[in-house]
Amino acid sequence: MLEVSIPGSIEYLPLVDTVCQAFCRWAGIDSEVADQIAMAAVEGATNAVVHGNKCQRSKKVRVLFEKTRDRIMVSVADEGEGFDPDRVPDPTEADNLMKESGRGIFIMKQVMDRVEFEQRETGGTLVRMAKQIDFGGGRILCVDYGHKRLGLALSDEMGVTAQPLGKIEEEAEEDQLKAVEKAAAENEVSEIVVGLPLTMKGHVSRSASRVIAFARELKKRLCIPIVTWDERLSTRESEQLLIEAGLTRSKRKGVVDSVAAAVILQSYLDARSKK
Amino acid sequence: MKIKIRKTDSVAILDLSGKLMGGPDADVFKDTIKQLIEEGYKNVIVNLEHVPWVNSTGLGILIAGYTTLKREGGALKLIHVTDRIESILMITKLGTIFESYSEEQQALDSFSG
Repeated sequence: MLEVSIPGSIEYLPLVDTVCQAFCRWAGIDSEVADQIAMAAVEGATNAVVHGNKCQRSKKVRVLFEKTRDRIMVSVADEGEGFDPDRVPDPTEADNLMKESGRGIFIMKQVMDRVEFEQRETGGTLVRMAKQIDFGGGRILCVDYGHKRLGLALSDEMGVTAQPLGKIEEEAEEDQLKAVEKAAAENEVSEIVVGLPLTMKGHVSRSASRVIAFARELKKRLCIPIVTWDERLSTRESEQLLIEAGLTRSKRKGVVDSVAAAVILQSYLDARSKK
Repeated sequence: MKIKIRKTDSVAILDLSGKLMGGPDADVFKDTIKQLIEEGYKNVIVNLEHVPWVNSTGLGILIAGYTTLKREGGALKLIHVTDRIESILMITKLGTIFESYSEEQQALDSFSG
């Protein structure tokens, strides 16, 4: 995640281009696509400076760049009074083709896959843009959340198979979060799956709401997708696997968390590949 | 953005360098075109070889120049359009408006033809 903040003055717009290009290079995006993203970022920032902040230097424009497993996101926020994007006419229509302005949003929509406008309660407009990028997979980390122990599992680079990774034995949430963060960084994961213990009827149980809170906390700290995945049966299924493997009850207890995580992750990977 | 002006007998060539993105650039460009018209130059070639990118405001500047010259019975043509600018011209359908050439000589010949 990278954020730049520029004064509401057009002389700073090239900086948005430069930063966007650098961010895209860091993300491993080829130059042609990087040019498109930068084009959209600059158009968004141009609108924010000129139409949003009305070129008032004291009003800032913030541009946020984010990379996720499968997309680059650019958000532009101004401190202006807002506008209605639907009232901007199509600049490619014959009557508008020779107009000197009015192309910004059109260009953004052409080069990005998604462009959304939001009038913020605090004032100003927030433009969110996303471009799908095929980063070619990346490892997925799975967390089987337990009150005292967290089981971890990791997928291969292609996201096909799941392997137990180990467990985290921390009771304080802060320590648990730090340990997951560390595991995610060490293994360069592009996504985290958190097992969600729904009841057999599919309701959110009390332990599930704790898991959801934990996943939300992770989301705040990491800029990769954090998803929850129904883990029903997986713990029993993993225990069954270990019994079949001939492990004693005491040994089972030690490894069951990471195996459970692997079973959850495998079911997630399988479901994903069917999509 | 900087503008260097070269002149033949009847055509002015503007070598632009730097990003074309509105603001002060718009005034500089408009003033340059106005000045050229006063001097009797109605045909202008804009060399974009050293312009890494143009934003929508920059496109507006080129359109303003194009319209002004056309009104005077002249024309504005582009040369050495980079890939990045080519793509923005295509997206906005302005590629159909601006005549562009890969070589300066071709553009010059197109005026005398």
